[in-house]
Amino acid sequence: MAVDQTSRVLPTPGSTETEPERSTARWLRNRFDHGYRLLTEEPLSLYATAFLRIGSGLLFMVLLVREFPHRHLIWGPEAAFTPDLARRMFDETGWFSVLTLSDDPQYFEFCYVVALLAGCLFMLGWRTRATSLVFAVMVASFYSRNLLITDGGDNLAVLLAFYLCFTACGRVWSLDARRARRREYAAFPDVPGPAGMVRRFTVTVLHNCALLVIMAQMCILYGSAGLYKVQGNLWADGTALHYVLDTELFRPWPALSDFVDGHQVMIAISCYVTVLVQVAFPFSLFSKLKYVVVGILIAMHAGIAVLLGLPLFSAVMILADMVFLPDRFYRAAARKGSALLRPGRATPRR
Amino acid sequence: MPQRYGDLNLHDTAPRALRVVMGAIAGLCAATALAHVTLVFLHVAPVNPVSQRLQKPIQAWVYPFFEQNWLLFAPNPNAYNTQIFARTGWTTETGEGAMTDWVDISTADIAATEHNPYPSRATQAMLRRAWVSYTTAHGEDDVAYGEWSQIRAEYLRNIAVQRIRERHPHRFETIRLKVVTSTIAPPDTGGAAPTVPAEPATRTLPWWNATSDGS
Repeated sequence: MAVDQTSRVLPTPGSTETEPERSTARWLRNRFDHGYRLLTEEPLSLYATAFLRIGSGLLFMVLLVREFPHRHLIWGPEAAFTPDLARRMFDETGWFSVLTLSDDPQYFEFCYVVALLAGCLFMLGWRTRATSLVFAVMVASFYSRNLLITDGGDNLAVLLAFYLCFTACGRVWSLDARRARRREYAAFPDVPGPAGMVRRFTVTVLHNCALLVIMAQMCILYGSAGLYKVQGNLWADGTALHYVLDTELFRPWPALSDFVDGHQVMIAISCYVTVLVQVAFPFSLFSKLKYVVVGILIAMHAGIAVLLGLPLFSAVMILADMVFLPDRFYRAAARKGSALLRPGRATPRR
Repeated sequence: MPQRYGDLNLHDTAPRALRVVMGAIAGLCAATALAHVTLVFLHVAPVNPVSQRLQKPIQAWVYPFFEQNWLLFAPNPNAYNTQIFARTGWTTETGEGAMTDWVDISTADIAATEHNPYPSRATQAMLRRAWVSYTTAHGEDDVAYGEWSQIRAEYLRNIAVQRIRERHPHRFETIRLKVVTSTIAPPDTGGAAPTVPAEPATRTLPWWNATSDGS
């Protein structure tokens, strides 16, 4: 493969070098230098990761507020999945949850408040790095407390919470950033000397690696979801969505479900588009095609949210898709947003 | 100053000794990220010679914290609806066995989902997923394969006990579940003869010990 690429490398003027090996080596070195700079020079996609932080915090709070009336049934000491069952499950799976450290109902309520607070502070970006760790522990704790009630959206939310710990997701759109701007407060303190240099360098590298991992995770998610479906005969004959729409607990709006179910051609097209877009996802990322694919996926998840009554699942998926949008999109959206909110101001802050 | 990281190249301006340290850090981070992505990929990929050889490290790395459940209605969505009934049994004062009629414990979930833009997972997922988990952990003979199956059976029983206790607050010692599975008919293709829906299949589980206080 590398040999094919040699033809693209133009010999530098004055150089007589023509041996393929030499120029291949140089090509490789150029690529490596480019990659190394990309990885180490500056944290990339700061706005996208900040958006992921805000979304993750918000959706975790939405889950906790929505399930507040049912919290004892789902995660509490009185739940059908008892703390004892959870602990036996941990022996099987290796999971961990702070919720099963005590069976005291007061302790459970305390954890609930801590979780809500962690979600809120993470969303706002307050002392982001430390908060991100607490947030990740709480998200994982509620997830693992009752694994048998979770879905793919919860699984992704846990992974995002883990990965975001390694990113500099509090650098923009956060209380940390506001404090740094307003009071010259060193929210990202500049440690002088070599130690400070290494520190800044490490933060950048960790951020970029985590960003890469989140993107790769989404490719693995969609690629495998698509390829699993390829093996199903109901996706192949274009009727899979008919069965989903007829599943009783996925019919919040029966009339709407029946209406959609009545259009077999549309159902078949949707089945095929779902599979093709999911399989194509990892391969579309290196071109402008990714905007089309991400757009279709977002529309698909919006449809799932309404038709199947799975808004939180869909929201987590859409949130993670947003990592692929460039920072110029987020900055433009923020400009538009603040211009709409504060029409008097000519030049918005950000 | 949030943006200051962008305008200088730390690696190029650093002293030589420091550059080595930085290079090592970058190498370590990049290698970890790539290893993570590779292991996760091999975990979701079908069994192949590489994943077979690396089975232990893959399992150790992915489970539990990086688990990947991306089935999402694949390979096929479940083409059935289930209705779950429970009945309780107890010994009367004269020493005879008594039991209730079958009580529907699942239909309330459908009512709670209808016209609800964001149904609670306590109604939309809890019993449905508990039943699916039970079936994947047990054969048709309801024999537990070990702790893994046992946990799922107890969870299913606890849900049934909680739901029946709301309506039958008397003491009971045993509980039994009956699950009626109706296949969803294929779409009506118009010209062909209308498909006759298959008869619902009934599966009756063994009596389980359960006290009305849920233990």
